[in-house]
Amino acid sequence: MLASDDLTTRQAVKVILRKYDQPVTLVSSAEEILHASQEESTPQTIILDARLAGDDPIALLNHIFQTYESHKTHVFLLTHHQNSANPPRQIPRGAASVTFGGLEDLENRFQSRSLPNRFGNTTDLRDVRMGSEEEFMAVFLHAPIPIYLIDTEGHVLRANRAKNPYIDADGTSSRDLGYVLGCRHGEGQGRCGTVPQCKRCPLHMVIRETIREDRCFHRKEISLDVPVETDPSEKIYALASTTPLWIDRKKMVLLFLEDISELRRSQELLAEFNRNLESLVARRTEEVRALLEQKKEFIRQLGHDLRTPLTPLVALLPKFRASLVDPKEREMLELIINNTEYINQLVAKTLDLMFLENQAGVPERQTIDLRVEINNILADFAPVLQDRNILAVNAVETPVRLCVDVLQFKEMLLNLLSNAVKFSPEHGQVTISAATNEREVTVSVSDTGMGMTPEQFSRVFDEFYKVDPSRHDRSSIGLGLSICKRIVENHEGRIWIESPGLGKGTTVYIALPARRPAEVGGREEQ
Amino acid sequence: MSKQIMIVDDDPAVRYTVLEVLRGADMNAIAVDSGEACLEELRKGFHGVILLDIMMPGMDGWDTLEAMKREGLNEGNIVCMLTAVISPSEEMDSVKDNVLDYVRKPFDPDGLIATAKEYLSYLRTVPDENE
Amino acid sequence: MNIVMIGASTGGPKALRSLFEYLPRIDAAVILIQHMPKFLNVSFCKALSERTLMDVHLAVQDQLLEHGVVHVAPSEYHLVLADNRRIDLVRGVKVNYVCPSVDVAMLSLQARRDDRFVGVVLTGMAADGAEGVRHIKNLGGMAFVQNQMTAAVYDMPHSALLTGAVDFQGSPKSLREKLVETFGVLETTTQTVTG
Repeated sequence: MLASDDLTTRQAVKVILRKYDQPVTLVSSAEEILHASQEESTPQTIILDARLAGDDPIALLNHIFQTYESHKTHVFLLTHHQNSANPPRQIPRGAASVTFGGLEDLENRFQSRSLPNRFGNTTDLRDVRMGSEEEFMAVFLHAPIPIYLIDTEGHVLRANRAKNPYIDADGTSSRDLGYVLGCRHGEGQGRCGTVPQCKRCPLHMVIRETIREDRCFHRKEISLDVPVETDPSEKIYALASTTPLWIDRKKMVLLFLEDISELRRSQELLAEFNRNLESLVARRTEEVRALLEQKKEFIRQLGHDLRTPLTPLVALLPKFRASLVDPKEREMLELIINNTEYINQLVAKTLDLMFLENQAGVPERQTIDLRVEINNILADFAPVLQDRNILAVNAVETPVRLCVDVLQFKEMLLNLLSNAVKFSPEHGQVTISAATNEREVTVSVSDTGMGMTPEQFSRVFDEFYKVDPSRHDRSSIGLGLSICKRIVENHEGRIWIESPGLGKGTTVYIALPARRPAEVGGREEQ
Repeated sequence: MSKQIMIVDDDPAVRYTVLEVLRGADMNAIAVDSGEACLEELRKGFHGVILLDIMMPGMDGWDTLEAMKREGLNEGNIVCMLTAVISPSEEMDSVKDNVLDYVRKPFDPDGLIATAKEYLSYLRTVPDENE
Repeated sequence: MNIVMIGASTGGPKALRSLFEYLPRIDAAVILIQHMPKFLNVSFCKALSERTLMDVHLAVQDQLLEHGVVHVAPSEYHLVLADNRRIDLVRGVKVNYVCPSVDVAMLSLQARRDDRFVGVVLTGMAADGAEGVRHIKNLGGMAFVQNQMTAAVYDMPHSALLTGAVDFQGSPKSLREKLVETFGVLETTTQTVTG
């Protein structure tokens, strides 16, 4: 049973009830409710328009429950604004049988009870003909975006009900926009658009713009600073789409208002998260940088502390050469001097390696011509080569461009060359050549020396590894190839060794990535 | 004329070594153990070649150079860094125009002798101010 | 005219001693910028002139460049060339923490049809000379630097190298040979006696 004297309310409730296939008896006054009991069977639910209950809903409810048994009949007190409605202060006995709320609550009640229909939560359109006015209304009312038809005064003439508890079931409204949106600025002192805050209201600005400029399909993101009831501190972000319309020769504005607050809030959260992440990354980077700095300082200090005590040894020991006459003593002196020199070299190479390992990330690169670099190094090496009668051949015949850290690359060539020379016999030959393909430039340094077994190939790159297992060889430190490996790795390259076997010479290969195309430009003309 | 080389180093073994190496080449030198002591000698009128260590506790080599410059004590003196630090850092940019040379430890004794001799010869040919 | 500009700082005297050792009179004017205290200017020139057959002079204002002569920049002035010919000594603020600055001198060179340039950067701290050799390279000249093995402090040659403008790197001795090879030697007989 529906009791209401208001036509629109009755229509709205009818729409809901029809949706859920609920038969209904209509009455339009409080007396009729009580009268109906004599004619009809007991209604399951009495939907009572709160306006009909008058000033004393308690009395009416008591009457109703005297007429109908409270365990058989449920009363739904329909208020027109769920939040502003004054719920009856004294709930009568059998309170479980009374609920109150707006239209939406009513619908929720039915919805939760009835099985979902074909369209899920939407209107059941089984009875609606396409092209009919009903169809249009159903589509309008249930469009999933709030739609408002507003006159130039800001009155909402029609609105759909998406997320909108203030709109009557048939889409009509006699409220102004602020009220409908739940803006409380104008409450108690007049209409939406009349209080000072409304001047800055972005929604009003959008509507005014649309009216003034006749802008069709105007779309604008706004943030509404309206004190909505749910949380007065929260802003509403909305996407307002407007278009001017002429209806009954009156200018109106059709307003679509999409609430994008959630989206914006998650964007803000994400942005904040990103800011936090950035500062975290910055902090970590700073920590790593500080650690590297610390390590660099440590290497510096260690270098100083190792070289300083070597100073008197290196400088003073040779002075005894002149004064010693006993061949035995001279022999001892030479042994001491040689070992001192060995420690000196060891310190230099170890610090070198530590320094290379401490170089975080990208070496300082520039483009070089391999052929020229090899020639320069061979020139530096000339005295040693002559001394040992070793022929060094630069087999790189055309310019080969490489993008490398020059200092590191030269140090690597120097190490490879000195290894090759060291292991070459008198009158041996050392050859440096290069091969290029699309991906890599492969540089090789070959000697005609003692060669290697496959077991030794991989181990030679270990720190302090020496081919001579007894480690009596004091002519090398055992760090040269470790240093080369580190340098090659700094350049994202590969290094490996090949040898046909003992006594048949050794070739060290270094493959470095060819320059990326982006790095080719610019200097190419020079 | 005889003591025209000053070695500034906090390490006694290094001071001893430098003095011995130079003495072996008939060159006399004085040795001090800190930047402060170096400045003191300069204030007392030392003129000549200064072999200056970098890493010293308290006032380091660069601090010493700066102080020399501030007090005008660098005038007429040649500074050569003698250091176990492999490469100079950026902090010395403002004083580097007073540093004529950079020798690393451990040094080659003959090289050091040649260096000291060369710079001493420069000083000997400096024209007198009233010339 | 052929112009060689040589820049050196810490460790420079030793490198120059080796570079100028027995250097014949090359067919070029040499401008030498060595960072040093002012009181050393004269004795430095003297020490240098004892090693080479070239005439070594401390540069003076308005002096004209001459092949076979080494013009040494005096301390506390920037040396610039007017029209690649005339020496202009300019009092000024330090550039790259130094005065004279190698960059300032090299950047004063201008493109002129028949002029040939070589920039040389020797041992020293920091980066003076790097912009200079880039400029010389842009003018069509050549750039040489000292190699790491022989440089007391490798910063200056390394900075120059990083500009990508360097044609050759080597010991002072090989730089000397390179200069002789590039410009050739002046015949003693064609040498004109100047005032």
